[in-house]
Amino acid sequence: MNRSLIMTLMRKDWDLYKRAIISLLVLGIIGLGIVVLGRTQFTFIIGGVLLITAIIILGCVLVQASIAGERKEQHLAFVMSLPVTAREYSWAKIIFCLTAYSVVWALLVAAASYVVLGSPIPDGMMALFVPMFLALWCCMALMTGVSIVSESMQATVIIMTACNIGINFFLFSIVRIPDIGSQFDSPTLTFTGPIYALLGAELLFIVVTIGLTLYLQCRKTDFI
Amino acid sequence: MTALAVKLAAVGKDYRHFHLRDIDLELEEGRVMGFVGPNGAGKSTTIRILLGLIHQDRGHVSVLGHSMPRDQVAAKWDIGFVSEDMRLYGQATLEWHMKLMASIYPKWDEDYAAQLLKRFELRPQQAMRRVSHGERTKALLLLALARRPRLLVLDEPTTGLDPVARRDVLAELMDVILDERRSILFSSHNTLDVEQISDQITFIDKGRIIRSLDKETFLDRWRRLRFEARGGFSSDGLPGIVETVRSGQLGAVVTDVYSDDVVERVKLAGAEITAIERMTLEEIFVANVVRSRKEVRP
Repeated sequence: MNRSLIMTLMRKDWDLYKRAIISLLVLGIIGLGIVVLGRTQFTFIIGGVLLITAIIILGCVLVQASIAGERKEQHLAFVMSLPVTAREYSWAKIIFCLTAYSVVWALLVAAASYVVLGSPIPDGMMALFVPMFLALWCCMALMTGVSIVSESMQATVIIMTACNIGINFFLFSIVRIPDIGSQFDSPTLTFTGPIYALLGAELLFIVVTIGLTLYLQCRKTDFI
Repeated sequence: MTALAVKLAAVGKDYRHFHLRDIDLELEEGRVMGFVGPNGAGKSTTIRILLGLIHQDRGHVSVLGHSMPRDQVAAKWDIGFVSEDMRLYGQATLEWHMKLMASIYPKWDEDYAAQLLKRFELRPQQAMRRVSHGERTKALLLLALARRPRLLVLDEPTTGLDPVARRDVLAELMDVILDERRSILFSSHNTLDVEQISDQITFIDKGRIIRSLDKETFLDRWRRLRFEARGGFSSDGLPGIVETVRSGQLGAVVTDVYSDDVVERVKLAGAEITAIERMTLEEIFVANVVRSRKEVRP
């Protein structure tokens, strides 16, 4: 594995997309600021929506611009003329997209958790927030995998739409889980067996999706 | 024995509607091969196979002594590739792309890159989305040449260029040829460009190599013999005659094995030769394609 070339490709992507990444981080921080400074239910909702929107858009921008866009805009022939294999290229894309997403996601989730746990908002809400934020990560892994494997902008847009709709269904579904729904007003947070099972399933989904993406990429014989 | 920069032996690739069949191709180091074929003939597929971007279903591919696609990374360090459908990052400048190349290739030649910038009249600070097609091709050529590759693979680089940009690109390629160790594979359907810079020509059509020879051999062997035939003249059965065209008493035969013997045979068959014309590479190419298609589908 040509690690230095993988790092170079990742640095290239950072150079190209850092403005969008930083802008969305700032948008998320603004959302959190609204939650902290507003202290009303209305500002909590507005700030929360802004935060989640920033995380969702970040995933879409990373996948659409750096993976699907690279093929659509015909940059791929240029990149693949470099001393790199299709497998190394895929590694670079997966690591860059998921790392860039993870950093912003982790910063915003940590800040959001700090806000929830340090404010009058019931700590029990974290029983909803943690699986929800992890579900956003699942969506990112799925979008990345589908975009890389399908090599299609159409498939990328479809999976993005499906993920964004799916996350709402996911939220509606998990609030019905008694161990989660019953904690919304609770001043203390309790992680129970069903919540651990849900988090475990989400982590497994992420690992399987990334593994499957790499497996399918390695089997490809025609890359461009 | 001269080392081979590129060797394809019995290479095949199957798609649902297209098959690349038994491609045998040899390019010696320091030589320039024009790879000519109509659109959809298989030029780009062959080139992508030799770059390791598409894996062949059959046959063996060796580039600069490396087996492809297995050793593609080792080979690509010494390959410069430019294709007509290749695009640079629109939001980035040429300077950014040059820095990227410099960070990857230890052999990146800053001075040569600066020379090419000046020669091609490119502005390094300009975002690539704002450049013309000609400027983009020149920028790609700069990025490929300044890494000092041993093999330059050019897939239709002059397609869509205006005459001035085409002249600049071809002139630079002529200079590159002066480096005797550098090999060039130049694919195009424009025979005029190929004729200017190549010393070896390979014709491809419908996924098959139909002819591969030195350019001079091609040009020497092919002739059009214009004739006048008052009596009955038929070229049927005459060896070496590829094509016959008649209009009343006037006509022309095309031969791919021109010699005095061929002229004599045409005369003996009842024709009076009025002119013997050299053929352009385009005419030779078209005649080869027509003949090949007749042979495949009689």
